Amino acid sequence: MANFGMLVDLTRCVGCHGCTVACQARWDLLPQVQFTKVHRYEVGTFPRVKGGVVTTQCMHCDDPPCARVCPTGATRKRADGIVVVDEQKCIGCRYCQSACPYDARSFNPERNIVQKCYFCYDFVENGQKPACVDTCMAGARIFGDLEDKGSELSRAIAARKAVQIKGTSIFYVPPRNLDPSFLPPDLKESSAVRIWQDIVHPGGKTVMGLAAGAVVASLVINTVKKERNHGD
Amino acid sequence: MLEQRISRRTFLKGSLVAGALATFGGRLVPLGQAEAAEAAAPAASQVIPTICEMCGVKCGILAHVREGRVWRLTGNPKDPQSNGRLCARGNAGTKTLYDPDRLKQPMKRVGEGKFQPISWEQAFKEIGAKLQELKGRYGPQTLVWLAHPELIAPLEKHFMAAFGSPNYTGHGPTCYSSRNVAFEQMYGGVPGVDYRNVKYYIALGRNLTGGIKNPDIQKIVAAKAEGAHLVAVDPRLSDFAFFADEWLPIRPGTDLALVLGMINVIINENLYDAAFVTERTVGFEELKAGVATYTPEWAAKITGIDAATITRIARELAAAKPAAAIDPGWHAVTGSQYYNSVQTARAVAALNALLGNLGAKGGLAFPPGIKFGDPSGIMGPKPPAAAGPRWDGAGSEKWPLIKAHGIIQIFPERVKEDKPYPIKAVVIQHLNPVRSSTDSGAFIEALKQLELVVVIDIQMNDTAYYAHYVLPEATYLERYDPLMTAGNKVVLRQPAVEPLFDTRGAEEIITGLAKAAGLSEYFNFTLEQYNDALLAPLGLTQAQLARIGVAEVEARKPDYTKLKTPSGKIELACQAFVKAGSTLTPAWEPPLVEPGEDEFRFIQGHVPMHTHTTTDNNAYLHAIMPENELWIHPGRAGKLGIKTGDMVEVASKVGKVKVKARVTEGIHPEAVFLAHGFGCVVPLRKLAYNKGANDSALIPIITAPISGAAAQCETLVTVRKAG
Repeated sequence: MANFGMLVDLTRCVGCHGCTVACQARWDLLPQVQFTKVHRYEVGTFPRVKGGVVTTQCMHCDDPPCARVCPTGATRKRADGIVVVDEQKCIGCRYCQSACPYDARSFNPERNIVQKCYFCYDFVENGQKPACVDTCMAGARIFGDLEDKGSELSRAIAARKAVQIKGTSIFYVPPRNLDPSFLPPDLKESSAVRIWQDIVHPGGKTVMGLAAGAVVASLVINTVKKERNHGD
Repeated sequence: MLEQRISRRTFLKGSLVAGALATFGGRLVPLGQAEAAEAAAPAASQVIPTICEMCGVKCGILAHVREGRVWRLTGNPKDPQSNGRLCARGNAGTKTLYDPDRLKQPMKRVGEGKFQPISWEQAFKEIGAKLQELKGRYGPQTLVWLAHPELIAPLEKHFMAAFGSPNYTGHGPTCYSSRNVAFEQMYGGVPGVDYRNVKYYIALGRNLTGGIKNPDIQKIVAAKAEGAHLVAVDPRLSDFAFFADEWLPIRPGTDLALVLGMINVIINENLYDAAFVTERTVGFEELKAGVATYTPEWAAKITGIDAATITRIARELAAAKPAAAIDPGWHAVTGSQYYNSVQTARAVAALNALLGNLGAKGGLAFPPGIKFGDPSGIMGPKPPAAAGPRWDGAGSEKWPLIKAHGIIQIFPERVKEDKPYPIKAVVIQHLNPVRSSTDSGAFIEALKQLELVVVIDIQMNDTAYYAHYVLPEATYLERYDPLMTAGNKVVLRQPAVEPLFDTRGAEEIITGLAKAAGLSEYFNFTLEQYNDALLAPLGLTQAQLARIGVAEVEARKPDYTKLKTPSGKIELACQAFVKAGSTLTPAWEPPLVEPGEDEFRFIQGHVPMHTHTTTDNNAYLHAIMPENELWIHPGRAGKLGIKTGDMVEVASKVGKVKVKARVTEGIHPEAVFLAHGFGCVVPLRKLAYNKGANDSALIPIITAPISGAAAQCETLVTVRKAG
């Protein structure tokens, strides 16, 4: 079985936002809902200043906290590694947004659902690439099967000494001047998610009313996340 | 399963009727259903090859149409420019097509900001009558046509020729005039850079990854990945400075000194391509004498870049020759930013010549030529001789080198003067000079003085807002256009969908105006006939091209041994400039203005997610960048008590704007920067209205010598925290 992943070569990225918009157009997203984002950073003082670009998106985590907290099973990780949301099953409770350590999920207020990068799984099933990969003028994105050592992705990861964000399906080639703190952090076991699971999801079944669960879980997760961030 | 298919299709239809297709991609899992929906759709799905118009590059695209709606745009893999890929703007094209604030029918002005919808027949009849009346009273030269010249330009020029006016005027002086004048005189044409193969590349303000050209991005990224060294010379940390290997934050307006210093090093250290210089250039000795005093130490004092760095990059550039280039540029320091821009462009042309890079892999190159047919046989009788000199004096004794470029920015002054003849009417097509020329306030006043202002556009831009008649053009996804060429390919723009509203292709609008203005005999042809006439020698027709989108044809390679200059060679010493009142070889001229202690030099430029003033109301692009910010150095900002996010007032001698500040180390302390393309004043464009600030409101009307360019960055401003 394939295990899909993506490499973003930040030495090539020009920061044009082509990926952002190709994705939005392809999924017909609301303008404020962006599955893949482009961030810029500057370091140094004039005249010795360096700038760079980091893109972020759903990391398609190995053990995704969003899926673990989802009370309806709308979010799940497929056997091929792609984390998907069944938008019909999503009730818009937004726990997953709280649980996501990467701020990679967006709320769609018009449809009352949470959405995120789906690795264009429907394109992928037809042998096509995700829209962001296909459109990238800089050729900065490579998508493929991490299990297949001969895939373009696996070969590029090896040849370009890519950095894996541990616990996720995303790899970066960082630019020479990049302070690693600008990259998304490795996925850590979140105590917040654990607590939520213990309270709400023992054995994978919802034992609390969904609305009540939402409030409790969100409070717990946000509190723990805040503390963790302060700790950093 | 069948039921599911039917319900899916019905749902889509219903959504279209409601004008709010939620999302085809809304269906996620279960996958069985999603696949079924896709499988049920093919009869209604189409992929139309056409040409993007989200900027001026004209990349070949594929419009993916489902149930009569363009749901997605991708690059056409057969197109040499897009190569199957698109920038943010190209991807966002559907939001321009389906922009609820688009122009939807012809409009007639009935008061300040008030318009009344009218029929095309009424619009043509009234405009045609007025044009004939003004022609009778003042002569045909009273009509000026302003445009950002696009594929339709030959037909706009044909209208003006038929009318008898010499006054077709492009946007060049607010963009590339100085570069063109320099290279036209010295090289016989304007070459581009072979970005794919360049090994050492210097950009003077040319913001390659900000003012994006899709093909250039693809090539420079590939070259960098193979080890090309990229140098960004810019007073601010531009998008290209982000991407490049090194950023040299030069004192704004002094790039000329840097280039002269580099020429000095390359000549003095014998680093130039001597064989190329002997065989393919004239005037080397004069150039050598001309730059003798421009030492790196001299240049360091002016530019703020130390002499060792200037010497180093000159040596490194020369060592990489001929796969080395200093970019001829576009709008930046060699284009229209400074009073000395034409000297800078001449120095850039000379430096490239010393590298022997013209026609070399990784150097400069002219595009190949495609031999089209002559359509004049179907375009009516020979037009009359144009009446009188041009309105702006371009091509006259005072301005001998710029007949093709004009001087658009002086329009407001010229309208007031009435000499040598009055200007009473203007047609403005695909251009928004109120925000793209200089001194917005003066431009608006000029429009108010005219007897007839007609704007042809897809949206109610800031200029259309002051027009007597606004004629809505169909968007690029709804119309045909004259042919596009890219390398040895011919590409066709064709509609992906029928016009959504009562809009028309520009050729229909121009034909309608011509017929109403008594010029029927010149416009008895269709656009298809015109394109077929062009294609005839290539054995193609528009109908055939419509099916394939892109056709490879025979193209002539440029002959670099016979340039279109008097000597047939690169003219390092160029008499044409002497005749025009300048120096024989490139020489130092300081910028026009120097900021005082409390002042800043105001600089402007492009961002990667917007094009000029045309995309600020595009919902996707607006969401990424809704407004611009004033970049200001922390040292200067601190003294003024300004923090990032504060509203500040920026004032020049012609205008004032309010905008948010962005305090950044990425800008020279002497300058403040504002991205172009914001500050829309038309309430009808709901997303863009009042977002950010309009740079053109601050820029006075200035005309640089020789090139007639607008010298936009010769603008001094003061900045203070807004109350």
